Amino acid sequence: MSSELQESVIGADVEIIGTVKCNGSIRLDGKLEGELSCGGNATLGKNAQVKGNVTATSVTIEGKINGNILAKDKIEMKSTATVNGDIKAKRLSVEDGVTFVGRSEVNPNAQPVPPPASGGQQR
Amino acid sequence: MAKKTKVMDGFSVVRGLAQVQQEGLLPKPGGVRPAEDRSSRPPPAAKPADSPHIVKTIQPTKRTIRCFACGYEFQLSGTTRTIYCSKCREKIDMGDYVIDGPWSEEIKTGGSVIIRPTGRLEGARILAGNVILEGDMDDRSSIECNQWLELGGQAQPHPRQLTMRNLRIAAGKDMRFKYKLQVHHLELLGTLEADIESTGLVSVREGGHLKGTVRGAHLQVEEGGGLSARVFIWPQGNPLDARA
Repeated sequence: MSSELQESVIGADVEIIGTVKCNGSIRLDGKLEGELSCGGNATLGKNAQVKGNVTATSVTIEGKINGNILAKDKIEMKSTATVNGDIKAKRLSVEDGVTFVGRSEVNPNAQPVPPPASGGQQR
Repeated sequence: MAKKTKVMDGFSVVRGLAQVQQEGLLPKPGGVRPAEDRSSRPPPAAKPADSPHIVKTIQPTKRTIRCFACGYEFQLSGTTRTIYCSKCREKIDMGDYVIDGPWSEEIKTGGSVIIRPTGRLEGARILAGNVILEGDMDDRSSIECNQWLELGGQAQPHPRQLTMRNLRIAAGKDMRFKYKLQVHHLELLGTLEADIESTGLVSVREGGHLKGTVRGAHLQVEEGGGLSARVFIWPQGNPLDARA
């Protein structure tokens, strides 16, 4: 099995104080006091409690988070999710029933800023 | 024999009974029914749950009507042209209207009013159950909706001209409310920039975009919907309010 398909799991009885970094995907069911940085998908299970910022390609939230979420692609909030913090992503999906207090910056229709033309004048 | 129908509603029952009575298949009232010989009849076979013999019963759609005179709200089943308020006995028109040209009169209806893209309200007052505004309206016109107001087209009415319970922004529409917008349900297929206070569900559909501030109990964002806003969503009510 390739490492891209593997998912790291932090169980419900695990409590971590510090920073968690991983290149692949991660599923968190326990408690985390600190940052979570993930190259793949981050799933915060129903029992998950996070106090800190989360950065990932896509984030799925079923538990509680006190912190900002930055996703390169998508943030998905399930009906059991509680989010206290700001979110930023390209795509967003929110189910009815969530508790969410914070700022949201999600604009799927935003045009990407074109790179500067290479043939420009140089001083 | 009554005509077989897959849908059984009140009208089908009455029609079937009338037909059976005409054919003399129904016993007369008070008549004695002859005893049946059940010995030769086979026991009834058990029908599967999805048997085509099981008919469906259709309940007529219920609508909430609000009396324009006394404000009393009551429910109406089915369709009718006119009804009377069950509290003050005021006559309420239930007709649906389509405006596709200049219009300057008052319309009071419990039904729907559709203002087509070619329609224009000029000093008109519209009181209706549901309104779809695709056309234009001048500063002297006003719209009051008991249920849903759908805003589409190119019109940019002033928020003070609109009173509604539920608001829907049609796809492609870009609407901006300067003042606080208080609604029950809000459905966005287009773009809305406002300070929103909702008591029901705020729903951002695919292609919709909500900007500004949103306070309420229920939020739903479909994939493909945008949300660039300050969000305060508490399904169980604001905990700060509960403490106060």
